[in-house]
Amino acid sequence: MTPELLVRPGEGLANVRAGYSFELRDRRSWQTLVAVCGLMVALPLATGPFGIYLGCTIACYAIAAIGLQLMVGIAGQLSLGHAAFMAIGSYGTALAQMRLGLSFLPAAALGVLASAGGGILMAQLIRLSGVYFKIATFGFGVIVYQLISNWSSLTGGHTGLTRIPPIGLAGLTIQSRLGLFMVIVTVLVLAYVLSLRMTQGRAGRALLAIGENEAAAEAIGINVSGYKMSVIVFGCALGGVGGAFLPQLTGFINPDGFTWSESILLLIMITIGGLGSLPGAVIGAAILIVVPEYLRDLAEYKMLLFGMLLVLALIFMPRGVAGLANDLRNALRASEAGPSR
Amino acid sequence: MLSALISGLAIGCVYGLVAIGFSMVFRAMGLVNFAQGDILMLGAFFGFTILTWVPAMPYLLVLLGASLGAGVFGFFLERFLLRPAVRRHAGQTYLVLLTLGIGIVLSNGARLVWGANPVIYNIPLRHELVRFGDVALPMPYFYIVAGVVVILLLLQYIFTRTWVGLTLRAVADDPQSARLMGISVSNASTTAFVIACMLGAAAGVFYAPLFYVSFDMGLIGVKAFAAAVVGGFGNLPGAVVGGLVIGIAEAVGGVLIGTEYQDSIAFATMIVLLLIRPRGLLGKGVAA
Amino acid sequence: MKTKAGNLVRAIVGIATAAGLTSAFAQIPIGLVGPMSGAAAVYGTEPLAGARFALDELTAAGNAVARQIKLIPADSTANPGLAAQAAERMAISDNVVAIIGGMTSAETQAMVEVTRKAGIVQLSPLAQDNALTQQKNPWFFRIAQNADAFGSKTAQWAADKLNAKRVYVLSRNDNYGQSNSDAFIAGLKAKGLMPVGQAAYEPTAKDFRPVLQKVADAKPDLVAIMGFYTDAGLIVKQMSEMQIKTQIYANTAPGLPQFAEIAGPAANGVYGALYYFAGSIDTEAGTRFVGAWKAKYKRAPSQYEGMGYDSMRLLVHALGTLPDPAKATPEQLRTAIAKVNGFAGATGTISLTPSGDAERPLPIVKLGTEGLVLDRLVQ
Repeated sequence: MTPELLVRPGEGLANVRAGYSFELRDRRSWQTLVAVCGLMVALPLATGPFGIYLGCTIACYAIAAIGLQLMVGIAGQLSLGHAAFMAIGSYGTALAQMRLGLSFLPAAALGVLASAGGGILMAQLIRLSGVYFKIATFGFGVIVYQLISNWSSLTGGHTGLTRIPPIGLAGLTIQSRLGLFMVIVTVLVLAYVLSLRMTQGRAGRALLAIGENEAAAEAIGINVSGYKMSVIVFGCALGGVGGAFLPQLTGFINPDGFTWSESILLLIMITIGGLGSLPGAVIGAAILIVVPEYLRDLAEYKMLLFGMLLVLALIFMPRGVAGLANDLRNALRASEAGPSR
Repeated sequence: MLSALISGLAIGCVYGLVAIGFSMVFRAMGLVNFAQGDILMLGAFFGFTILTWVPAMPYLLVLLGASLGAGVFGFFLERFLLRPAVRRHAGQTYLVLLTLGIGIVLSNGARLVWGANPVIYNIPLRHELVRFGDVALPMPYFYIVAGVVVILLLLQYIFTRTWVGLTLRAVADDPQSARLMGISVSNASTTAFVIACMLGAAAGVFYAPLFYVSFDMGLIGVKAFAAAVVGGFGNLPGAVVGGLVIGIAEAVGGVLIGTEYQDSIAFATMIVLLLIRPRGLLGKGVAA
Repeated sequence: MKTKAGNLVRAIVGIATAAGLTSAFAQIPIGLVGPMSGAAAVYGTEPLAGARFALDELTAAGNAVARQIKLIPADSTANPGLAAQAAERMAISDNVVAIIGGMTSAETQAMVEVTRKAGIVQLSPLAQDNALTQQKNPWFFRIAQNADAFGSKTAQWAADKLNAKRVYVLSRNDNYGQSNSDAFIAGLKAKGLMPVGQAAYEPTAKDFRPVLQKVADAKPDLVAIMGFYTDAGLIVKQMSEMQIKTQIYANTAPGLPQFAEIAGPAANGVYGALYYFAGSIDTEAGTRFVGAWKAKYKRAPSQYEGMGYDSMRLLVHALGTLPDPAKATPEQLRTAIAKVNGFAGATGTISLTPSGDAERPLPIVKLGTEGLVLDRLVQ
């Protein structure tokens, strides 16, 4: 019995846990990919230099959020310490550039490898049953934060790292914000495409089955621990990719950018966007970074509002913004098609 | 080293109280309540407010008042936010995120209500010392240990001798049969949650005179969570044992390795223990 | 439908730009970035209150420059990334000519990356990290002393006045604690003293007994605590509970009233060194400020309020030296500030060095039963 029999083409897998009716029809997913990435490029460009800055930030967090979405929303492995992997990517890349003199590409490769390695380490904890795994991931985040903060000789400790070299690609140095934006968005598109491919086909169905009910998945012959390990390593690696670009954007990193607050932020991003939805991860990242800019005067209430949004989204809008968009599209399509479908 | 051990013991008791709350809720509702630490914070603030209104209120009455307040709060929380989700058979991820969100709202709400600056219980207990020769221990330590013992005895009594306690155990063991016997599972869940909130609030009131009360106190809850896990999730005496283990490991580790790694030590201890004994020290296994 | 939306977007962008342009002509935008919420809120809200007080005072006195200043505050929540983002926005969208900030050293460093690239003046009231003025950055200034100066002066005082021979240094494991303890220890060494012990504690720590046992075993005659007022308060309380009897120096912590609350009776006799101590500056500017503040708020100004006040006054003063303040470019302002020498600030006489550091007085205080008392004003 193979996993394919669980789902018939054209039929969404009603995922009560994730709450998002996951469309396995490839074409629609690719259409969504184009739409979301198109917006990601167009909107920042239309709103000027600060928009581009925000766009860079959104893209970095969106990449990490996609990784988290794969782990949490699709495979059901809740990770409470995802910021740690952004940290490993950031510090790994910046340190490789500064201490080893590597140019950006090999440095980032090292950084991402390091976060994947961290992912492998954390994946050892999957031996622990669900609840324990979650709290262990939180502990992992704490331990990484404390290591970064205290290993001053390596990471500069709380003083952080500054004077980070810019990206050099094929002889050209990326000096402008616009150039950086183009690079990060390209990587985001790549990450999105890779993740989309991962959620389609046999692997995707296996992951969904695991996320739905691990015991059942095991029973029908899916290599549960193998898939769990793969998705965790991949998700953490993506976290590292998002982190690798942060030092480029701000020119300065220190441990305070990778705390429990950032892990929570990422979780809220994927929830508001829609658990289990890849475009939702990007949308969630955009919302949580842009909206506070409009509510600049209400900064005191930001975390309270985020918490309330999280709770309200879970209760009233479990499929998130992506789910709403999906419903809207379905409704439009139904009205266009007329009374019969 | 001795004073590190003793303070580790006392803090461990506080962890243990919160951990009992975690385990109770998990056994009764299958829910991991990530807001439990923030209930501790809320209880501490309730106590502070009581003392602001009635500065001469005896400490034990403050304890009672804060616990009752938190119990009422927990009642509404469970009924309107948590029960609908549990009834929908929402998955673990969903429930964890929900309670995380509730915790964020609680701590930030507390910050807006009581202010971002820490506050203290302005009572004599805060500075009382008990001397044994040339060693002086803060009086709150004794309240904590005595309190935990009394509470454990009380819970033991409730669970073995009262109808409420027996129904809670029945529901935790086998909800289907319990329902068939006419027990209201949802009422049992509510009761368990309310008791857990009262325990968390009591822990907060015990903690407050030792240090201070602040909106970010809830982070203690995470260590308490590690304590519940170490002792075996769902196991009540295990929760206390786990609390003591974590408290002492933290204190001793702080002396031996260095206080800047204290938090890591607590979690590393937990992870190592879990890898050796995946069911926790006293746990009988948890299907989660 | 596409063109309608496009028109709408273009219209909005157009109006916004126009509004921005017109406001830049009518006003001098100055940003202020710091933590306004969360545990570190006092470091942001108080300097902001001081800066606003200065603006109101100067405007009421008829100062033409002050009247045109538009103060734009932003909350960094002590997160360096958000501070940089706020600075970025102020530079690009708000067209500020200067930013007062950051308050913590980490967020200041993050903001420096932005202001340096954008060519905007950055004046920090509180950031102490040495590295900030060691980067040959002509755009950054501060009116607070750097950690080295602070540490060496206080260490000198500790060795002379307190007759300290055996010093144990406890530091909070973050930027503030580490930089201050490094500087203090360097100052001690300059006086020929080696600390008998040194330990760092986690910012989230509340129970310090493990490390205090080590402190007790070392039998110090002075314990120096470089931390937040919350941990310093708890340390002092627990030290007295453990019967550790020694002199205590708690850096800037005693300046906050909550320190005494948390520490309880043990806080009596604790020494501190503040950015500024109301009543210690008996110049005309100093006494006028304290008087005006007391009249409005019924209490003396805190160290952070004073530093915010002087930051704004310094900026206004520098702008006033320019031929046309309303059209001042950041470059002009930078040159004007760099020339500041002997500025009569309310927190003391301030002179800026070529590296952007400040030379200013340092008040050392002692906590008594009636509150803080000035022990010595080190020039």
